[in-house]
Amino acid sequence: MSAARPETLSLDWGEAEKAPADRRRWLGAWLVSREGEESDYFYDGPSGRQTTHRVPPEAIGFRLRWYPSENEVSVNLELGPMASVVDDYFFAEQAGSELTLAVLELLPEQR
Amino acid sequence: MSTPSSIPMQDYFVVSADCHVLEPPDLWEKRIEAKFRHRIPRLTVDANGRKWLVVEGQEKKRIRDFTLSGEDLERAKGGTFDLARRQQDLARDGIDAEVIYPNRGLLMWTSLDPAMQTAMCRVWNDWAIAVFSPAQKCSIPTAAIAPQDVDAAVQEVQRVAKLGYKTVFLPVTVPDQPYNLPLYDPLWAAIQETGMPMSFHVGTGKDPRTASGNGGAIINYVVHALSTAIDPVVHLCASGVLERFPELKFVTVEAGIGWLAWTLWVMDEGFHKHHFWIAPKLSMPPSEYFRRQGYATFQDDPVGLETRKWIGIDRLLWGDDYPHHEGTWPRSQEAIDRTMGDLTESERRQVLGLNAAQLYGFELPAVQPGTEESRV
Repeated sequence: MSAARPETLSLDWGEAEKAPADRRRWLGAWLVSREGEESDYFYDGPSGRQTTHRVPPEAIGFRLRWYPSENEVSVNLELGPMASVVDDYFFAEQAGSELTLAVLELLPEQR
Repeated sequence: MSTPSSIPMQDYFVVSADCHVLEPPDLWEKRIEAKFRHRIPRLTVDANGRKWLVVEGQEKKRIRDFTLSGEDLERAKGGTFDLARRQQDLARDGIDAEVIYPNRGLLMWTSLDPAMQTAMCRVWNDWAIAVFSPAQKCSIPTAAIAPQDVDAAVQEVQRVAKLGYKTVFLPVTVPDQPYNLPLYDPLWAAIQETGMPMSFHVGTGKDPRTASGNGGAIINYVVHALSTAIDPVVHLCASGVLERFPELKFVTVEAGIGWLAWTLWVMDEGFHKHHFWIAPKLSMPPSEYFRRQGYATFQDDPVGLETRKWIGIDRLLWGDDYPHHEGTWPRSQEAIDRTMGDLTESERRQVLGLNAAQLYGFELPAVQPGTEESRV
């Protein structure tokens, strides 16, 4: 019987070719409802890495936020650098036990 | 070669009663209870690459890319919470001490859900006091209070007092729950009990980015940000709140002061000419409550300074609004030269620092700078 969610999630956070101060920062969090409610976050760090995470039983997907790099000037003049939220990713019903994704492919501006 | 200053800031003890700190970009996301995280203000990028600011309780707004240079760029990157770098920025502008407000945290009250507001405020309150405690002699952060749920607000006031805060701030307005309502009395009592002054910073409680299109930037600044400060002043002075809580001190922040003399005047005009409608009966005209318990900050307001005799010089607090673009950092010396030449020496000392030092409890230097004693 196939699982409704993968057991593990592997993510390639991209931008490995960039210098550390030019890399975005990311926050990855588990989604627990279709309305967008989250539980714990599972990744807090820069791009340029590849990570693997055990998916908790209550997770039905995940949400990614990215933040401007250290060297980037915020586009948001009044509020300063803040999170850009990537479209929510929900696990498919027939997902395999391992899911591997490249986060930059999830960004609309990268498509 | 620069022109010699007529009012050298180094001759004064200077307190900026309105500074800001740029919080870590992920402050709320990492610290708020997980159940609230998906409701935090955020940016989204659509399929066409357009950026949108999404804030609960407000319409989403287009964010456009800016290219900044020079001091504009410095301001955009200023407001650091690195204490050493921050101290350098303050010293560069002639500031001896500061009162600190958030930056993105000015959005803490946008949600209409009081539980969300309270959760947002708690994150800021826990973070800011931890960061600035080592510098508390010269840098004091303000604790944020979400007043809509009064019981929760009272608890937070008591909590932040124990954390070591010296002042609290509230949104300028609360939708459908104005500050003249007696339901706030437990909150005023709690704040008065702590002895902390409370403040109302413009841009909170009402969306300051309401207008768009022709003139939008100026309409937003004047109509939807600065002039909103009239609201708490009138609600507190006219409603009997300040009569019931005579030790409560309040400050309007970043609204300037040019509107204030007129506001005090027309409150009293209403008090006298509409006396038959006034309830509760006040023991003195509304303006007198302001002159007893109110203060206002300004940064670059020659019009307001002309009206100081109508307000009271001891009510006025200068601030540079570091690092914001509408502030005076890093050119406060020029703003002071330009706007304070008509003030007496004593008036300048009060406005530039002594009033704020007394209100917020900053320790004054043993010898006042710029005095004969200081030159010995």
